[in-house]
Formats: sequence, C-alpha cells, structure tokens
Amino acid sequence: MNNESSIWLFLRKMRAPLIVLNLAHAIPVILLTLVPGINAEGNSAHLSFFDAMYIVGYTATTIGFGEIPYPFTYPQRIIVLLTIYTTVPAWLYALGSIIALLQDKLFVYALRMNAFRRKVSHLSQDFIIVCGYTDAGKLLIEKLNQDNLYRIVVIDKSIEKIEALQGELYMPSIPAIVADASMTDVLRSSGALSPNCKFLVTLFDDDQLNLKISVRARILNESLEIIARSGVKHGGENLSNIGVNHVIDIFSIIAQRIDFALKSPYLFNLLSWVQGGNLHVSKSDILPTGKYIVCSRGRFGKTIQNTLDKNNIDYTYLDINKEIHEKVSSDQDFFLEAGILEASCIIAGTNDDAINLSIIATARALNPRIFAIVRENEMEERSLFSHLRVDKIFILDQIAALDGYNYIDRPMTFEFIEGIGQFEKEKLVDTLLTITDRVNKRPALLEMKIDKNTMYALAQFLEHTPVTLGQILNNPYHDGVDLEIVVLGIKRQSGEFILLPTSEIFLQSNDRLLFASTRPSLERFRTIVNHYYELYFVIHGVEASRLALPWSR
Amino acid sequence: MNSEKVISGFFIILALTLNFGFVVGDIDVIAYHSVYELVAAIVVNLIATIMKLGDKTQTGSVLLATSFVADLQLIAAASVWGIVNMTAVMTPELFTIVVSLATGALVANIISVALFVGETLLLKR
Repeated sequence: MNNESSIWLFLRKMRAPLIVLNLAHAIPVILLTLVPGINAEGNSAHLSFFDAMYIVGYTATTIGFGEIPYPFTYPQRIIVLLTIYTTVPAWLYALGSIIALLQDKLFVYALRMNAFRRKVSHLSQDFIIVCGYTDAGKLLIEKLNQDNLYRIVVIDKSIEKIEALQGELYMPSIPAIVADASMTDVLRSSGALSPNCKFLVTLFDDDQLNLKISVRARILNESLEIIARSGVKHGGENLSNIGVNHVIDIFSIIAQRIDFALKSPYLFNLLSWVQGGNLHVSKSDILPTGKYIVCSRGRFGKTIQNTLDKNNIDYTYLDINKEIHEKVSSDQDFFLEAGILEASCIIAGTNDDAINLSIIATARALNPRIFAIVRENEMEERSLFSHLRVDKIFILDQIAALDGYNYIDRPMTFEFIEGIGQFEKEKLVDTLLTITDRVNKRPALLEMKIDKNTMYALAQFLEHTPVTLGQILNNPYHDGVDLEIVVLGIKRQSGEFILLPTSEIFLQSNDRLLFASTRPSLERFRTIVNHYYELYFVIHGVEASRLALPWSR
Repeated sequence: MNSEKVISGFFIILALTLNFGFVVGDIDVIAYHSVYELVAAIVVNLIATIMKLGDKTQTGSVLLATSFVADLQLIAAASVWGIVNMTAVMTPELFTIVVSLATGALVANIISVALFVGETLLLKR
C-alpha cells in the first residue's frame, strides 16, 4: 500500500475516538456548571467553567482528587456519577484506539519511510544505493565507507539485517529501510531519481530479484550506474541486456583466477591482490598441473570445465549435488573410482558447504598430498574450512563484494588486470617485484583523479608548469628518500590507458592515477599535491618566495 | 446523498451559527453574550476540526486550517474570560477583548463554510 495514503487513513480512523473524547468532556462540563452547589459559607453557588473542567479532567483519567473546591451537593454528585460512567470508558476507548492505531504496522512503516526519505533527500554528497545487507553487502559497505568517496543508502527486506546494520554504528551514518527493494516506490524513496545517486548495487543471491530491481531502477533513472550480482543459473546475459552497467559474475571471476593461476602464479597473485589479497607469492599460489577432480554441478562446473579445457588440463568431472551425495554409500569408493589416488588437485565446488567439507575431508584422508580448492558459499563456515587447511578458498560473497567495490571506487583495476594478462612471465615477475620492493607486501591500492577537489595544488600547477610523475614520487624532499608509491596506470581524459607509466611521463589535469602505496606515503603524497608551497619545493628544490616585496622582483 | 458529507456539513455550519449567536449584540455588554453559547461554539468547532482530519485534497487542507484558526480564537476568548473571572473583576473594556476574539473566529468560520459550500457546488454528481 502507498505509504502516503496510510497516513491519511490513520487520520480518518482517529476521527471517531477524538469526537467521543471531545463530547465526553464537553457534556459533563456544561452539566456541572448548570447544577447549583453550596459554598463554604452555605450560600448557593455554581461551579465555574474552570472548576468543572478541572473536575472532569481528573475524573475521566481516573485520578480522582475528590470534591473540589467544596463538598458537592447530592444533585452535583448525580452529575459526577454520570461523568464517571461516561468519561472513564470514553477516555479508555479513545486512548486505546489511538494507541492501537499508532502501533498499526502500515502506519509505523509509513512513518519510518518518511523519516528515511527525509534522510536520503538531505544527503548532499554523491551516494550509492545498496540493495541487500547480505554478507557481501556488508563487506562492500565496510570497504566503501573506509574510502568515504560516496555516502551509502541500504534497503533490505529483513528487519533483523537492518537492525544489525544500525548496530554497527557506521560513520558517516547509513540511512537504511526495511522494505522490498524491487518496488518502484521504495527505489524512488531511496533516491534513485536524485542526481547525487551515482550507483545502485544489488547483491542478492536471487537472480530474479536482482533482475527485478535492475529493471525498475533502469526505467526510473537512465543515467544511473547499475551493478548487479549474477547468480547460479545465468551468466548475467539477461542482466546486461536490460542495461546493467556491470554484472558481478562470481563464477567467471573464479574461473579467471584459476586460469591465471594455471598460466603463472605471479599473474594469479597480482589478480588476487587487486581483488583483496596480499601481494606475496606463496606455495599455495602454484597450482599443480597433474590430474584434476572437479566435484560440481551446473554453471559453476561448466565454467571450471571450460577453463581447464582451455589450459589442456586432464580432469574427471563428478556431477554432485545433495541427492546424489546422499545416495553414495561410501564417499571413499566413489572417489577411488574417480581416481583420487593419481589426482593432484580436487575442486570442491558444490553449492552446499557441508558437502564441500566432506569432499575435502575424504579426499585428504585418501590422498594427503592432494591440492584442495574449495568453493565457500556461506561466510560463517570460514573457520571450518581453514581448519581443514584447504589450499585455496573461494568465498563467493567476498569475491562479489570486492568486485563491486573495485568497479565503484577503482574502476581502473579492470584495465590493469586486462593489461597484465598479456604480459610474459619475466615482465610479470618484474612488475610484482617493483611493487613489493618499493612499497611492501600488502600495499593499499587506490585510484585518484588530478582535479581541484583531490589534488588542488597539482591541478593548478599543471596549468602553467609541466610536471612529470617522477618529480613528485622520486626523492620529493631532496633528502634521498622516495615515496613508497608505485603508479600502476594512468587514464587520460581522452580514455587512453597507460599501463605501468615510466617516471618521465608528463601528468595532465583530469588524469586518473591507479597506485599502490603505504599509508604514510599516501599522506605525504596528499600533502604534496594539495599545498602550493610544498609542491613548489618538491618541483623546484627551493622554497617559493612568500612575500612579494617590492625589491625582490 | 453522502452521510459523511451530511455529518461534516452539519458540524461545520453549526460551528458558524453558534459562533454568530455568541458574537451578535453590543460588544461590551455581558448580558448579550451567553457563556454556554461560547462553550457550545468551542465544542462544535473542535468536532468540526476533527471531521476535517484526513481529507487529502487541497480544499480539505485549507478547511482544516480555517478550523484551527477558529479553535485558537475561541479558546483564547474563553481563556481571557476565565482568567479575568479568577483574578480580577470583569469590566466592559476586558469583555470587549473576549467578544472581539470570538468575532475573529466568526470570520474564519465564514471562510470555512464558504469553502465547504463552494467545494460541494463544484461537484457535478
């Protein structure tokens, strides 16, 4: 139901109790003033209107102060008796129905919706609508809130989830509403029409729901960037068809990772760093090239099969789901038949974490040296999987969240990955070592634009002085210390993307930089590019003269 | 015939007539103005206000506003009268304030009735 009309309905329903309350007070007041009483001196006297209202007031609310200002006569007591039997029930009825109306679900929903709408319309920054406070949504929100480039608005159907969100006490605050995000009205209230609304992210596990939300959002706002998670059944083709700008297809991301890992562990490592991991090649990054056993089903299985085919890997495919798994008398025979003893790697990729766990446990028992890759569907199972010492865990929610985050806050990562995907092995090792040597093994990756908002001084400088990348990053304070920053890519305003630019490259205003850095160096960098005198010193090596004295010309 | 229209029309017009009945007569003579008529005017005005609640049309909103004005003026008149009675002696000068406040409420009530009648006349069914 439209929440506007439920407020009107509420007011209409209030009419009867309010009129009853009004009459139940008015009639006894008039009667009390009409009936004569006797005052302290024994003379006949009438109650004033004020006294009468006072008496009715405390009688109706069952407070009962007694006979004020002087003892009543019998005719007066008859009126008071009438007052008691009419006003007290009337008061209880009116109060009861008003309280019942206030607790009415639709009315409460309408009030909450109004408060939410007000909060959203007061957002003056750019903001993102996140549909679904799922595990993935939560992770995405945490990431986005750290960067604080956008404010966030959350819609979720479940009241527990919204309460959990409000319990997190995010700063800056996140307006959230318990509502069905697939309703046009709800999307409109969440600011989908506002020019400040830049992205809409829908991260539900349910394909149909994501589709519904995307369609409605696209119809409401042509220019909104929509990011939708594609689910188990479809690869997101239908999502792209209706105008979703970025489809988070977790299965192809995992397939790409396995593909990269089979090509080179360095490539794999760079990719998983961009998608949230560490920048350090460990033993578990090197996939074996022997026989694989893939336990999966549906689209995930098919995607993995394609990847393995492409890389000429020999594998056995076990089509497993819950029913088949229950029918198998003993896991051991099943796996022995599949050739587990000769296999070098097992991929447990069903959509049920319990089955995945049992697959890994059995495989490990039969062949302790087997390399185990597992698909983790629920984030809560994390500790169980790490307990089994699984070599590679693909956590669906985490992958979805970081992919969405990359698209929103650092879209150049996609071009970067595409670029390094073409590299030869030596160049990959070089790239990785350049980053780890200059920065560290866990660099922050971020994207910044050279404009007056983020790099005030530099943007001004570039209008008259050419500046190279190396001038700022290498030995900026002329004390022999370089900034721990590696620029991975520059995107020009024209759309040209320069992968791993050299330090001689000239910067232009409105360039976007993708770079890896440590926190302290990032702070220094920000100071340099935002303060004119700091930047002047960095570039020219001398202090700028701050006083324009007449003789200093 | 619409029973809701009958009831709300009844109260809106009764509010005007009672208000008029109270106000009419020399402005500073207490004998011309009955306190019970003032109380009745207040009660009926409150009911008329409640009857106007929850009407989402444009005219409905203005009607509600006129009612609020009338309530405010009448309650102010009654308060002045009550406070003077409790604390001092009523003089013609003070009583003028009571009646003039009620006269103000009368204007609001006239507008209210005019709007109500006008809106009804616009309906073609």
